[in-house]
Amino acid sequence: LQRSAVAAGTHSPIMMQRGCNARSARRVKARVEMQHSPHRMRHDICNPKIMLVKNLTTSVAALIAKPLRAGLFTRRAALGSLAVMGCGHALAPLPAADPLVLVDGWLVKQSDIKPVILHQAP
Amino acid sequence: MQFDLETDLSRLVTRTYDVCVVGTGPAGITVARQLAAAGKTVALLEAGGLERSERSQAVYAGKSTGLKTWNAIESCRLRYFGGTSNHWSGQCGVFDESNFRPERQHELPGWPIERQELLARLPEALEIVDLPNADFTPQPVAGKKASRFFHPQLRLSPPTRFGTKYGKEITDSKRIDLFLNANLVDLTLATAGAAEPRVTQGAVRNYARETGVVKASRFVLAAGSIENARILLNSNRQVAAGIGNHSDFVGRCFMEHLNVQIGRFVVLDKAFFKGNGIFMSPGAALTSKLNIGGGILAMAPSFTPSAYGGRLARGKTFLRDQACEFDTVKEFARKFVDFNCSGEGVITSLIEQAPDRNSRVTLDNETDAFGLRRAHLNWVINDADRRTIRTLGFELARDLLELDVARVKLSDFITDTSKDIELINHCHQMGTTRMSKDPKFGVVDTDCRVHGVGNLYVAGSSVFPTGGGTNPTLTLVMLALRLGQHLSGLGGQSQA
Repeated sequence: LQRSAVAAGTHSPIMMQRGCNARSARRVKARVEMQHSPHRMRHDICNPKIMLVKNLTTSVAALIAKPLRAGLFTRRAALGSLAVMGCGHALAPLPAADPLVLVDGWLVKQSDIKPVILHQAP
Repeated sequence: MQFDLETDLSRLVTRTYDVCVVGTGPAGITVARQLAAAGKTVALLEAGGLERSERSQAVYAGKSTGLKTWNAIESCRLRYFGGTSNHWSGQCGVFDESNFRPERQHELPGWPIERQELLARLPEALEIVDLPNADFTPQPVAGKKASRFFHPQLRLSPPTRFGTKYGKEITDSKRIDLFLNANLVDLTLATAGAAEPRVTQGAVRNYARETGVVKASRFVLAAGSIENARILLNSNRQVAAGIGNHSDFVGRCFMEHLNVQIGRFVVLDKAFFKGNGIFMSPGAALTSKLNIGGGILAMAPSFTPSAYGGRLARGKTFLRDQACEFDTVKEFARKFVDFNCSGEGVITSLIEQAPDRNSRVTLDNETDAFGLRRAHLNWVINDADRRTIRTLGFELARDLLELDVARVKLSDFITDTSKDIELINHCHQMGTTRMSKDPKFGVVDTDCRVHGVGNLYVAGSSVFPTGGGTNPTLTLVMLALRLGQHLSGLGGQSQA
């Protein structure tokens, strides 16, 4: 899991395009609790690197936080209120002017994002 | 009447017809029926027989380069009576006003006729495709906020198999002679006594390579986008570049509808998706403002039914739901089987391709069973198409988010411009003999007559100057009706 997550960060084309790679990114092992599945604990590797990518469209400034993995969305969340979980400090600051953000391909509202960090690895 | 050239080649030369129609797909049959109803005599040429055969289908084989997709040149088309309608899905839509906007010019001019000219034939076209009184009025998107998209209304024909439905009428007709196994291999031009050269006769071969001659006052090519271009380009005995190729446009601007998986989505408001699925198209204001093409974005979410199907179906649903509980398992399983978890779906699309000279049909060096050079299709998209795909995907995701009915995970090639867009075709082959008022930018004029040739016409989607953002069959039937009406009003010289 760790290897694949790091690989995902390494090969993130947007990151590569912007001159970032996994080596330069801090690796934080975070345990992320899914708010809508409180009985289940998820392990994830979060890369706190954030960057602002312009011109995806004319008016949307998009925040990319990689790798926020597919596990951020669950089937249970799909039919209820949606929550995106990730490394909290990776998700701030968000652009105040536009409430829409692009996170790992998901176009979401800022209010969708509920950053939760329970533990950080040494 | 019906004749098989395999057994009787002599029948061809016994008369001069008012019109010779080449091809028996939706366009060819529609033109032929209308001409017969107006009292014209018609020679209707079908290159294959009444049923599909490998012998006939093999003539379509050709070279395909450009976009890596499944073989559009052989698999999309059917070469027997009824043509490609024999595997038509039946989906019908009407081009919206934005397709005919004069200001919406690509690098090349768009439609030189008014949308209303086509819509005048809509009721008749709907009867032809077994959709009488179908309503295509677009519906607004209901929601908390105003949407920049609308719900296009698509209707599903049974689907009409033109050969099956109109076969008896054609063979019973005293005005239509249907010739099977009749492969048009050459057109002869003559200039004597006319301001423009005219086609005087066509050379037709059966599969034994015996050649006959068909004579008519007017000729209509209705053999499909690739084949219409191939016939014109191969008719190079008198005109080296091919007939109608005065400005090097024959075969150019081949278009398809782009079938792209825009992304996945999760449903927040089940009612919005009406239980099964919806179509959404960008409004004219949006496409105009962003200067992009149109299209249809289809979303059909998957839900777990309470009691659905047999034991096998329930078993599959159970396995899917188990896999969906665990993201790692889900992603792993998706490497082998593409499936949607309950409440999720995939956004597929039918997106307009802008006309591009480099997307084209040319002649390959290899020849077919009749000695004609085979088609070489080089289907490509350009930066305008890539921009349309990415912008439409992003704007749809934004619209659904603002309506708060779903969230979309865009495919990586939508958000990352450095990646190649993965797409396939819809088998909606268009362009290659595009319509243009100015001969410099097209092959046929507004009457579908080949520029510079007095009596040669083209029917079908090959005359589309732009592909529009919806399924093309209904539009090509309306165009064929318009052509049939035009030819019916012209004088003939039928000789029994």
